Amino acid sequence: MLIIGIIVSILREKSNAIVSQQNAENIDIDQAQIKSNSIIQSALKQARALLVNAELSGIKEVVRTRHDSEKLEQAYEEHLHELVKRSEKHLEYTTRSIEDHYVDLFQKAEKQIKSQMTDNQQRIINELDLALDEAHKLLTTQTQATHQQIERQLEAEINDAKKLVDGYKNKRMEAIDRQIGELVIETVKRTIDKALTPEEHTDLVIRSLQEAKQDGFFT
Amino acid sequence: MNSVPLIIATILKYAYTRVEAEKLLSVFRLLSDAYFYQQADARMMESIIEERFRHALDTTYYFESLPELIQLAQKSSKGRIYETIHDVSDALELLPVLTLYVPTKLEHIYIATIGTWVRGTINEKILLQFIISAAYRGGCGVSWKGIMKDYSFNHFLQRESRSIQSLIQNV
Repeated sequence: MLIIGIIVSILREKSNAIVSQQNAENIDIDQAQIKSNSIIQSALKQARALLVNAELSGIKEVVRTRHDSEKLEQAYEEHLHELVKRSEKHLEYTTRSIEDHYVDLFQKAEKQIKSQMTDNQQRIINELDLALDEAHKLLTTQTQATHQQIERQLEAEINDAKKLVDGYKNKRMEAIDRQIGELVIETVKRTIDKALTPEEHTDLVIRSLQEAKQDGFFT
Repeated sequence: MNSVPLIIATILKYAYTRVEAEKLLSVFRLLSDAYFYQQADARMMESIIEERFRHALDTTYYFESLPELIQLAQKSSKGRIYETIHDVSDALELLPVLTLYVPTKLEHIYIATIGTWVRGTINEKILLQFIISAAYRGGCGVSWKGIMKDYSFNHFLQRESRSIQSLIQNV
């Protein structure tokens, strides 16, 4: 219908143009009118033909369209159904994937956490071992140093005590020796003059002089 | 004739100490006096000495030396006799003296033994000087050229002290 209207409108415009032209040029009105009627008739005829064709086409189109719509609807439904199924499958797959992913993630996380814990434990153990080694070394060093210091102190104290004892012993021994010596000398002195003859006195004097000579006393 | 060396040699032949040498020099003076101023012969001279030292102890060496001293007196010059005696005295003063500290007085015979050893070992013209000191038992103290050293029993005891201490400790 729209097309027909357009055609009529075009024809009218043409007619009007022609009329206007005829009017302007003062051409034979009758001929022009007949010609225009003929044109109009022809146009109407064409228009009707066009209209019929259009209506037929429209009907066909409507039928076809209706038929297509059903098919489309059916296809749509099938597609929708398929889509739903696929969606379900996809959802299921996705759910499973997510589940698997999360299970895997949790497993990995658990593994990683365990590994991390193991690493941390090992690191802590290593650090503790190091700390223990250091502490052991430090303790050993300090123990050795303390031991050496104690040994030195003990040695010094023992030496001091030994010196003290030795000093006392030496003093006592010197005193005893001196006393013994004095006693021996006194005894000898008391007996020597009585016991020795003049010859023996003389011999002792010569022995003393020999000793002095050996000492280089007379050089 | 200078008789001083001969007189000194004779004195040193019989005397070993400064005291003995001075005594023999005194004997020589007496002999000279008797010879030059009493016209005494050798026999008289011996008698004078015997009388003079009749109570003296340990005078054997006087009389042993008399023959030689009488001869020396007789050979001396009367005018120079005292000068000679003075020179001998000075010469004796110059002889080296070894001083010995001994615990007891020794008779001449023992002094001669010591003196013989000293003159044969140290110096043939040495004179001894004995000082009695009980501190030098078992030996003697020796003084020579201004240095004195104890070589008595104390010295030997000190020298052997370690051995003695060791012996005492091991008893």
